[in-house]
Amino acid sequence: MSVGLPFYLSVSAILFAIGLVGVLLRRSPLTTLLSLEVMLNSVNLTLVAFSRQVGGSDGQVFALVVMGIAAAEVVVGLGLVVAMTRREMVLDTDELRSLSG
Amino acid sequence: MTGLVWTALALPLAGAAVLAVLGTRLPARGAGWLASLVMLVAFVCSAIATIMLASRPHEERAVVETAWTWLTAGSFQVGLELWFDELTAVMLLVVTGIGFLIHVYSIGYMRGDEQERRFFAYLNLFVFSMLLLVVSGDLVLLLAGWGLVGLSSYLLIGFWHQKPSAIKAAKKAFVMNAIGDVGLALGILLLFIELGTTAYTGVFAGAGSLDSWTATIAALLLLVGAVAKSAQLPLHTWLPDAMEGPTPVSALIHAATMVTAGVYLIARMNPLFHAAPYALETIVVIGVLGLLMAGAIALVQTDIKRIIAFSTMSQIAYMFVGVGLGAYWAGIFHLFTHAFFKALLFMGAGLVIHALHGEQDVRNMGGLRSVMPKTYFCMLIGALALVGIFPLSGGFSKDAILASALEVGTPLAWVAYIGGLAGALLTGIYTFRLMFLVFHRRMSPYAEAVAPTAVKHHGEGPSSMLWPVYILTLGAAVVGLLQVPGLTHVFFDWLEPIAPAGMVEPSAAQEWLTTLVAVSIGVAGIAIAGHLYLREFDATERMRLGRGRLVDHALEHRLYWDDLYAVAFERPAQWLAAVLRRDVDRPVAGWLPTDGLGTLTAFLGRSVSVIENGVVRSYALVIALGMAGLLLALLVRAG
Repeated sequence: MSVGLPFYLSVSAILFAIGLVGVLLRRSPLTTLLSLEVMLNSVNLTLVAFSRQVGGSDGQVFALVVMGIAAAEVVVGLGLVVAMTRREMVLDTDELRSLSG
Repeated sequence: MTGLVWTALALPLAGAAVLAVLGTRLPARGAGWLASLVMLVAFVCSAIATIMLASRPHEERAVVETAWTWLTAGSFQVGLELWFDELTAVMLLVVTGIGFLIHVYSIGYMRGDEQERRFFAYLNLFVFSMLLLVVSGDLVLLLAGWGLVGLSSYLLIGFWHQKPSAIKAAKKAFVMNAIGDVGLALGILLLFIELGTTAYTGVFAGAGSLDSWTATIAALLLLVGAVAKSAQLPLHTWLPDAMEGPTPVSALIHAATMVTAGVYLIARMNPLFHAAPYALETIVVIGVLGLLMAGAIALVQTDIKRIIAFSTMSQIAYMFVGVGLGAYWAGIFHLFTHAFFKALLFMGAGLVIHALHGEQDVRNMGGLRSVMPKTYFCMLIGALALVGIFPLSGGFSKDAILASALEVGTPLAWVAYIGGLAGALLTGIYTFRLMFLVFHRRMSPYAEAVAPTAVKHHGEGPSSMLWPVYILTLGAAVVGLLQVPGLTHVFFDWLEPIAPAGMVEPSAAQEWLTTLVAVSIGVAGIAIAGHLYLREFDATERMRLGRGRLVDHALEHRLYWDDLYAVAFERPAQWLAAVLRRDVDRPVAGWLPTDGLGTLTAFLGRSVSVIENGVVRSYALVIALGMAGLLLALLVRAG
């Protein structure tokens, strides 16, 4: 028995939910970024799965684009984390509320 | 040839951009030299282009060139269109030539100011705007230049923004000019509706076919723009206040170039005005009233720059009379000579102000002839040229305007002639009142305390300030010789092609007769000024004409124009606002726990802003919930 589309979608949904819970519950910026990454990759999984089902390559290309953007986003996010650590700021997204100073 | 004109147009813009971008990375002194260099190159380009234009045969002298079309709406197109003909060449030379001298002068004048770079960036921006105004071949593009000169004038009047009076003056100039801009824009729209084009070629070709009412209304609307920009009645009140700006600004913008844009517009649009004789008569009336009124007010002013400002208004009124009579060349000729001697007077006044550490009140001057002989000599040449004493420049151009009135010979032209001669008397009196009060008589205590030491240490001014003044002095003395009645004919021949319907040209006899009368009247004016102001009197005494309280009071308050506008527009607006607040806002919004509509909106804004708390997780939750809601909605609809 081959692995069908519903299995991919289920895994993807579970991954997305895990990622979402992580974003909503964890307060460390680092963990938030990781969770975001999980969410993005769950979407990638869906894209690739549908792409295989339909037979075109559009979805796969889209998944590559998402990876590229995810990489760029992580660069900014990690850069911020490093900068905050250097300034000895508290790494807690609930405390980081205002843009000023 | 057109390439040179494009270069002249682009250079000041590039200069302004470089100064603005580099800012404090440039050395303070370098900014002025850079801006001046840009102007020098632009002037050389204009001069070469003019020589090339002159070498062409007459019928090929109007060059039109479109760089690209930047606005297209249906069949309507506005191109970046260059229009280079004899009139453009005159304006180009005045703007870049006088502009260059004033840039150099500014290097000395603005030395030590913390924001020299900003000043020169504005100054270059102004020159670009003015050049755009004069080289454009399309009314929409002209309007763009028209607006930009207004903007740069606003920026430069308010350059010393720490002075509240300067900010107020800048705002006033901007608002008055905005009224004119609206008039000009409406006029352009009307021409577009009637002719379907705003390019000069189309407008000039179609102007003759307009019915006389449309032509008159369009011309009058353009005139509103011209009147506001040139500080003529009844939109003149901004010009004296504009003297709050630095003196080089007064010399460049409020004497030599921008304020003459109205005269340029009328001369440029002469085919349209030719089709609207009533508009031309209106111009003459405005001119005659303006030259007399401004001359009379200049008699009692005490601020050296304001005296010259009212004189500028009066001289531009002469130009209006000239173009209004159909002697476009005479109006432009006066514009040309005026640019020299008036810039010279302003720059001389700047030297005096500089030596007196910023003092501008003529009552605190006096006796400076012995301390500042070079300034005295240069300003004397400028003053004599202004009064129109033979053979200095101002006389030839002013007499050309008056002689044209003789040539026209209608009753209105006779009124203009008599009014112009009366104005010459006033010119003689106020100009030499200024000269006598500043340079002759006994020194005032203030001048005695300040001037001799200042001049001993710094001379009459740095050479960057003195040389432009010398060059302008030479110009003010000789440029009139371009058009000596019966002898030389350069200016008329040069400008003749710009008016397809022909221009009024007086005979040499009429001109010499007018010169004889006008010069005698001017000398009489100087004599009256000498009688009134050369004798010693208490310097603190108010500068009265001695002709009764009413006249003095009226003139000192500039004939109450400002008060009139306050009563007519400012007070009603304040009253309306108070009434709206008391009778509309309070009753309507009074039942709320807030005070009126303004605070209500602020209250609402604050209550909504609570959800913007900055906690990223709550934002994420809202997004997730929203997404879930959307999915749910999709499911429900699909099921």
